[in-house]
Amino acid sequence: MSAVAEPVIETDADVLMRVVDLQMHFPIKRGLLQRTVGHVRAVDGVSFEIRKGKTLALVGESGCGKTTTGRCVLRLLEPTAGSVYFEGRSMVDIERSELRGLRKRLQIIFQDPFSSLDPRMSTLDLVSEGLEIHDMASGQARIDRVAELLDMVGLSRRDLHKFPHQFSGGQRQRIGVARALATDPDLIVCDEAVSALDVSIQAQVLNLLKDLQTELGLAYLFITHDLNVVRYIADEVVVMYLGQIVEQGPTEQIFNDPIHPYTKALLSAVPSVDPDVAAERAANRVMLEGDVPSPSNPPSGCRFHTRCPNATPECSTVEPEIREFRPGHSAAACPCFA
Amino acid sequence: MTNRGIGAGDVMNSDATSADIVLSVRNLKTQFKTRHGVVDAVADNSFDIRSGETVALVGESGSGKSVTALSVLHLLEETGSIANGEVIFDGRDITHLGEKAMRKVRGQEISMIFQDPATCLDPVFTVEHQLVEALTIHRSYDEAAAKDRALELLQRVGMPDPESRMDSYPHQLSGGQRQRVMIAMALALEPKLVIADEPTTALDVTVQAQILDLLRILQAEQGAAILFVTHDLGVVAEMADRVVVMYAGIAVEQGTVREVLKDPQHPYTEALLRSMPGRVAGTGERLTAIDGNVPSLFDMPDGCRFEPRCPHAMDRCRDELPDLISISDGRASRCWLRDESTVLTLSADAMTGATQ
Repeated sequence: MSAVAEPVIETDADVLMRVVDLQMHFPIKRGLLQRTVGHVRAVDGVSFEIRKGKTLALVGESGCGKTTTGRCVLRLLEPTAGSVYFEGRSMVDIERSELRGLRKRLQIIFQDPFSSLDPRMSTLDLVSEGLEIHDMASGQARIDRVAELLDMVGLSRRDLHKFPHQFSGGQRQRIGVARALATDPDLIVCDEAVSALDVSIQAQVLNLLKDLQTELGLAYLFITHDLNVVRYIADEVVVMYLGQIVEQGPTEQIFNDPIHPYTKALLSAVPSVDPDVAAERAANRVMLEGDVPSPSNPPSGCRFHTRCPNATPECSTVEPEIREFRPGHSAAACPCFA
Repeated sequence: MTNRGIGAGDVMNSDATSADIVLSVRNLKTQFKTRHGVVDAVADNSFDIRSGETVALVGESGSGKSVTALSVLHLLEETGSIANGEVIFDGRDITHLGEKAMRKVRGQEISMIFQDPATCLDPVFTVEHQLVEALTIHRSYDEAAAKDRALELLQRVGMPDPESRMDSYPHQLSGGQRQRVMIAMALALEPKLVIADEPTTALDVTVQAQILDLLRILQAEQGAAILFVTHDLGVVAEMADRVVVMYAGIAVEQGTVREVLKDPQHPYTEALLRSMPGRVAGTGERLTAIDGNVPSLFDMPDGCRFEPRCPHAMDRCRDELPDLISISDGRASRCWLRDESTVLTLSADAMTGATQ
């Protein structure tokens, strides 16, 4: 499929999406003339690859740019700079009409199953919206396809003509999943898709997403702040802080052997349900001071230096480079530890 | 039957004298009037908190944990009221205390920390104004002394740059800083009991760790009892001494945090723990979700409320809601599996399930 004279880069056969040096800067406008007085550098040079049939998790705290990154890779936002390649084809320079074709293969599930579904639309209409837009099915075929999708997500044909308010939060999120599956996508961006759910329901949806992945060979870009969920669902993890990647690698390596001080602090802050582990973690916790600084005015040098427990004077001037410490496991090589 | 069904007081440790007990909630039932009829948001909840102790009320949405906390403080919406049971604070029955007297209790003896400090702090007043107001109204401080005390409080809750923060308005503070102000206000009057309703749920995990740490330190200093309402069993494991697990308006299990999390005795607690992703982390094991949904308040099962989702459900569970059945000192489970007459017939796999 890379025969067309499009901007093509070499790609491993199993890489579905490659994001290179992605940047998204939002202008800050002030005053009567709405002059641009600065920029919020929400995403500032982010690169990663999503493999076919695998789950990549983007993690970080509020304002780290994980959601913006998710929107940019779907081109729901126009990135300021950088490239996104889907199966080797650039999504940034692509024609609008062609983008539409690609959109079938890229879907999103949102966090809030209450506000992301139009309350006036029936399940049938909600789930088949994508089918209609892409002319994929109509008439009885449309109804059958939606019934099939509902069955896949653990709902039933009987739910076809119900409205969102007739469902619980977990069931609504299943509708969100069915909607995303309708166009037979290759990649689904899950933006805090289970964060609003109670833990017993969250487990249902996580298992559903895992099963669908095995069955349909889906890839997920899983955006979440919940590290326990990440460890359960993700194959690879990208840790973000203030618009930049601080560490990325295979999930178990990140959790068992984190390199960057921010990753260490983040992991040690997660409360454990095991009282013994909880006590141990509390005793060895890397406590960070203060809050995440504003992305409109990020600290110089290493962006983490204002909260870093081992910051050196050098950290405020030298911007650390990403270095591969182990195969597939890289981190911002800060002078304070590298 | 008589020695199985027990009063709430007996469930708690017998080695503690009642003088230690700061708050005792007995058979609390809180109802709300709705367009579709009266619902029991809390059907039956009993627990005690002793001074210096942290008790967690844990449960999912609709379990009645927040309504229990609000009932204690008489902060229910107008449609809600305590229909049955008692709330005894510091030896005094405050269940039906009038609003005027209750306002005094709320200000001076029990304080509350809410989930979202942004909506609890007044947006048009500075931090200083709000702290000083609390001190002058409830503790007859004069203006200057109140100001000094306010600054001291901000320092104690670890507010960065406290002098200049005194003049800040709530919107100028971060979420973590606002929660620090809330904690400063809650502690300003040195209450005997602090009720914290999901105080860290809206915060990032590194900031949550700071706030939990702060609460622990301040509790050790002041010796206040804390009623900690949360949905997060991880926070329970870190913060609480004892825990009351709630499901669909009833307390289903209680005991020390270690006992309940290591050796759950109620099938709901057990299932809840098994559905937590943190528990299978790194093992490659599959999560065991709880099938189905929490029953609607308008359509509660007659018997045990967890019966429709319970893997161990028996005929008896459908018809009769069990009482809290005492297992050992301070340890109880509201499950027929714990009843002597059924214990003998327990299947082997139910036993292994309960002890895993």
